[in-house]
Amino acid sequence: MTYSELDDLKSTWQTLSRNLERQNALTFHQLKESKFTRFRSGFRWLVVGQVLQIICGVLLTIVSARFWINHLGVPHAMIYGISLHVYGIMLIIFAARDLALIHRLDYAAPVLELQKQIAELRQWHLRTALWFGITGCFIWIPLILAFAYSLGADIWVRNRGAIGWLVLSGLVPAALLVGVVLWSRRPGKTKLARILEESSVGRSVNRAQALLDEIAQFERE
Amino acid sequence: MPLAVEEKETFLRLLDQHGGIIRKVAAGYSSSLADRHDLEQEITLQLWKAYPRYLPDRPFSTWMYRIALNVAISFLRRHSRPGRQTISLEETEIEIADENAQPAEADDRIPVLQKVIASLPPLERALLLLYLDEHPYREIATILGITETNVATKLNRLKQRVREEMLKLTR
Repeated sequence: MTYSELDDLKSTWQTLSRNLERQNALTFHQLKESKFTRFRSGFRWLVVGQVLQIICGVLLTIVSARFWINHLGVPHAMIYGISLHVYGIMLIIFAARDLALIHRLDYAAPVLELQKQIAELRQWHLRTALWFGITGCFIWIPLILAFAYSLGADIWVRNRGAIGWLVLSGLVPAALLVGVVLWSRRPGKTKLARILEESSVGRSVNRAQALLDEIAQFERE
Repeated sequence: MPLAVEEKETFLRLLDQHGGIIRKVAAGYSSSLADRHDLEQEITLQLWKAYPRYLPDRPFSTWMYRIALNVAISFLRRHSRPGRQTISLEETEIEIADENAQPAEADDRIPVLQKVIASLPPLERALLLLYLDEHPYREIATILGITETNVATKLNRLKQRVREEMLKLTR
């Protein structure tokens, strides 16, 4: 038998469909209500994480705003407070956008629309993860300095050199992180780079981009 | 939002009536029997979740196809591993023979068809399933979210691709 045309397979598809019906693998009535009520979206943990992030962001924003407002005459203390304030706002904005992207997901939307929304959410989430990774290498510095200042230890006045060391110790992991991500995403990778790519954000970002490209290509006539 | 008893009954009735869509889509996007059952459940639960927003003036089958394909594509992307895209002939035969309440209809082209489906990327696979199910171009366009012209163009390319794939498989 030769199989030359797609249309020839239509009857085979009907046979397969009838066989699937006969198997009766899916017995809807066996799906107990408890199972339905227990069902949560695959994005549940992402939502929980984003809500927690917003709570942390709000707390950090309030505390840091109070800190720098109380030290308006002390420029370096204001810088500690404002840095933390900005970071707090960043936490809120990024989480709010994540939640907005999750909220707009509609599985009843046309296939391409939803797949694009999922890819965009994924890409945004991964980009922000990288951004948080980099800023996270530094944000502990104003946090420690502000905390010490609140306890009466003004490191800027007492030991300015220590701040340089703190910044340097933030720069090293940040540079390493950026280096590893860039390395894992370059073409013509070594075996080690490929292993890194498999396990790091680099691959996920590439995959999210590939998914968007695939959808865009499908949309084109 | 919890559904009223009457709504639940309507939902289950519609599910029974159009359950074949879930089975077919799940069969087209899974690489094992266990995966297929998981996918069928995932689709059903997503339908249940989305049902309160379903507008009865729209065709239920179109709404169901959109959800089923969206869930299936996400499922495939989540579960796809290198080298796992294609189902072996042995596996498909076992799958067809498994759990049969009644004897399955014989068609020696079923494994070939499954191989062809499994060889396609997720979006092309959706297009193929809708085409094989003999949906009009307009409905395919509505489900996928592309234009009718695009459906026609893509189907022509798909036919060519499938032709080549089938020749390879049957050589």
